[in-house]
Amino acid sequence: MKIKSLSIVAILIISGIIIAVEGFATYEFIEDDPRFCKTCHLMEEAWYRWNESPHNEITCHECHRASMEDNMRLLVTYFTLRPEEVSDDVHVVIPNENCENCHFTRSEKWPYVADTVGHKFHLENNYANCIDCHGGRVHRFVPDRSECMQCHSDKVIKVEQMNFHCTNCHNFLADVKTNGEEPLPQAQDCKKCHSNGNIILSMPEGAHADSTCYTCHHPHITQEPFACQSCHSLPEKPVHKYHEGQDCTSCHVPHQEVGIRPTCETCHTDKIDHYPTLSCSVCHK
Amino acid sequence: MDISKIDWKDVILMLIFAVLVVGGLQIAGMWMWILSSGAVPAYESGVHIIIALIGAVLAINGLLKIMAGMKSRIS
Repeated sequence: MKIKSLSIVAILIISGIIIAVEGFATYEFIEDDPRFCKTCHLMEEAWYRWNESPHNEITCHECHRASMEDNMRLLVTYFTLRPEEVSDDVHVVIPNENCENCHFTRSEKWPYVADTVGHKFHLENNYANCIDCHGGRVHRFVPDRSECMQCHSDKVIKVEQMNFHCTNCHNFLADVKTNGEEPLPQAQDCKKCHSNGNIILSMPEGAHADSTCYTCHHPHITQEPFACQSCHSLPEKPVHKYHEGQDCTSCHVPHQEVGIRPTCETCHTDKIDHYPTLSCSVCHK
Repeated sequence: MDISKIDWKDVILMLIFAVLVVGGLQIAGMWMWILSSGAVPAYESGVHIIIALIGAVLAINGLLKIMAGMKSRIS
């Protein structure tokens, strides 16, 4: 009898240990292994996108955190309603803090974005949450232009050649110390493409030197630069009165270093030998 | 049948074994579902299924032994 009860205790201990260890391994698999998420056919696309993304070194659960109650609700939903699309809050809503844990801490592994113009502007002013821009295309973390347009649908580009991603001009990842608090294009952003635009305006020397590019160019409003008359009235000088009706830029050539005399000589070809050593504006005011 | 001869320690042991049986079978079933989804290699889920079934079979064995002892005492 004693041997029999000993064998029962031995069986109890052995089976208890086996099932406890196996139960723990299963719990770990469910709670920490991204492959568990792949067992649901609804997750396949999201899973493969995650697997190809820079986030494939962190598990699903590190961003998609769920309480035990949420887990139970998901389990019941899965087996009773057999949903055909992922619509649950636990899968879709990621609190900003989860992103900030890595991206607001300086490390070699993750880009530090706490002091970047675009992130600071949108997060501190509560204009958007991280997933509003980075989550729209499920695990394609670099935002597409369509994600900007969700809020900025009024910002249409009027210049056909500029039909590219917003961040080409609005340097989202620039440092706030260099680019200021708002993600507006700076001269250096324009010069990434327009490297020949160093000289602002030829005559008079230094004109518009302190202006920003969008003083004249505003591709969200008009294709052509603003007319000079939107800021300047025609100066009360004979030389301007005489040329009234001419386009300002035919003499004041933007973005080209042109002297006064060569500019005048492009039209007044018969005056090439007329006091050739003097600038025309010495006499013709 | 004399129910007063039931040893409550046996009943508790039976309950524990029953929980282990259910647990073992549930874990095995869970890994079978994982196996069917193709999310993990077959050998990996296969090992888990076999281990869980071994645990469940041992627990069934213990459960049956207690039930047999109980039955002989009662009758």
